[in-house]
Amino acid sequence: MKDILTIAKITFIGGRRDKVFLTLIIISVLIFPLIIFAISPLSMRQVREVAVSLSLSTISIVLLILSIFLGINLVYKDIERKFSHTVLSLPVSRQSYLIGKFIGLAGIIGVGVITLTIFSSIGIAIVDTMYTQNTVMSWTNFYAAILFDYLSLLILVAVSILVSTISTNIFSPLFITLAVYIIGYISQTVYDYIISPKGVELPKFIGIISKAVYYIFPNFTLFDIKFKAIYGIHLEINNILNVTAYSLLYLVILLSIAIVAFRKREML
Amino acid sequence: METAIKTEGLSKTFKGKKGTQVNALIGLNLEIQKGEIFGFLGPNGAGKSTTIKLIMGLIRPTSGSFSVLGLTVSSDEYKKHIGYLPENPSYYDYLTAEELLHFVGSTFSMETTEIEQNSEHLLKTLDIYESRKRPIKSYSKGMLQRLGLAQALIHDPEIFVLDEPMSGLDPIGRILVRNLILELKSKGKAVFMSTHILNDIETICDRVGIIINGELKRIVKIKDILEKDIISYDITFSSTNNEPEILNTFKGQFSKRVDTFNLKILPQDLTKILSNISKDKDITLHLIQPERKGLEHLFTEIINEK
Repeated sequence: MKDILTIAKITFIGGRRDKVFLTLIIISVLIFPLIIFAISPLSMRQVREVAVSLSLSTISIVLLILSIFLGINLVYKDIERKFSHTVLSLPVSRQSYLIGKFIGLAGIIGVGVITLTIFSSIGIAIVDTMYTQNTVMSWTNFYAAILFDYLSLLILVAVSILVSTISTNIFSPLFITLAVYIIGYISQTVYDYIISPKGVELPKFIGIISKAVYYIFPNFTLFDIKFKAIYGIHLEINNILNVTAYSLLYLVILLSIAIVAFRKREML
Repeated sequence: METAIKTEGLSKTFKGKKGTQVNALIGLNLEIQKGEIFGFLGPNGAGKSTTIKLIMGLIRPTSGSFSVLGLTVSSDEYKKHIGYLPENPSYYDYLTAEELLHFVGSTFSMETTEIEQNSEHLLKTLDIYESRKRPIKSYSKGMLQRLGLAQALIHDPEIFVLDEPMSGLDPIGRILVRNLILELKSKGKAVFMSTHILNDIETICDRVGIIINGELKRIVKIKDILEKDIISYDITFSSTNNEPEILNTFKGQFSKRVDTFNLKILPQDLTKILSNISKDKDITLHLIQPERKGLEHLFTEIINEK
């Protein structure tokens, strides 16, 4: 356990000192005043709703870039530049190395999440006081939406770690992680179509492939509760627990496969 | 003496392109004792780094096994007894030297105070203390090598596996590292080092294993090479006589310098020439230098055996 935390700490420091991380966070923090004072008021009636929507979208995009970039940068490049060789020649198991890497990455993305959440919350709170609102702001839903975003991105980080452990070039982790993200967002729509009356008429193999993709790939639409945060729609606690359990299950599966693959990898 | 590292039939075959196989290491049997400096010599691609990577668990053997301090390797725990310097040290370059040593020390379950004390001592010994707070990315090749040695030494292990320890070092750095390795030996540590530099092996190693094309060709004691295999002697002397008699008596190569003569003679003539010199009052003897076949000769000989 101590080894895992040692690796996590080093990974966290690496992420924190990464210029891309710092630049992205600074830029996105600067975007919030723009959203609050320039873009949201343009909607006239739903200023706060627009502010919430744009803030959540900004957080999503920034964290997506961050997750993919750091996920690949801190694992694939670790192997490519032979930093991992140095670590693995120490009494650190490959399992501890990968889990430590994941925890470190989750930590640094978590810092990004907290920073963006603080700034967006301040912005939304300002909008909420400046303009008359018809509804009450649901901060629970707002934070749950960000938490769900974070969980979905952790799955993506696990995907990038898994691909990095078996890949011999930087493009595979990049494209496969992006592909998983896109598939994860469209598989629900495709599945719904396949089981609809029109979908049943399609060739059988398309149905089989679509269902296989639906069940194998993580379903990211489950994590998208932005509309509930924007409009303050009631969010059931069971929903939060189920999605959290779903993400944890995926993380365990992905990291387990990554560990098995990494144990077999020769550090040439 | 206690065995530090023992390999038994250690082999590694890599899969090449189009189903070809490359035998990087073939049945290596090696035994390195504590208190010994063992040099591993071979041309590029001979299998030196493959052996080291196998010992460090970075790659898995195709067949054979190895043990460390008599313990069969089953988990990563055996690495606690080893200090490893990779061929081209590559460390998290966003860290400072201090942070790196702290990280490495932590993986060896060292206490923070112990890490701090050892770090300070090692960074000072290796002359990089002043740069300890700078990111590693700003380090030169020689500084990286010194830092690599510091991280290999931080936990004071019983065994050292050093892949090209002198690589990238300036002359002062080389002397420093050479003395450091000799100090380790005096403390009873085992040092297994690979190198291309024959002089380093002759100067500090007790034994050398010569590996070519993945096969260990020979293990020799450096002492044997240095004490035996003398092919000639270089004798330097001066004489008040411009043409000393001795040059006519001995068939050898001689050359005249500004104020001295240099005579190259066969080993069997040494006693006779010394006797003649002692009788000749015009001659003053300055230096007798044996010329050996040496490691270079042995290495070339083995290479040519192919």
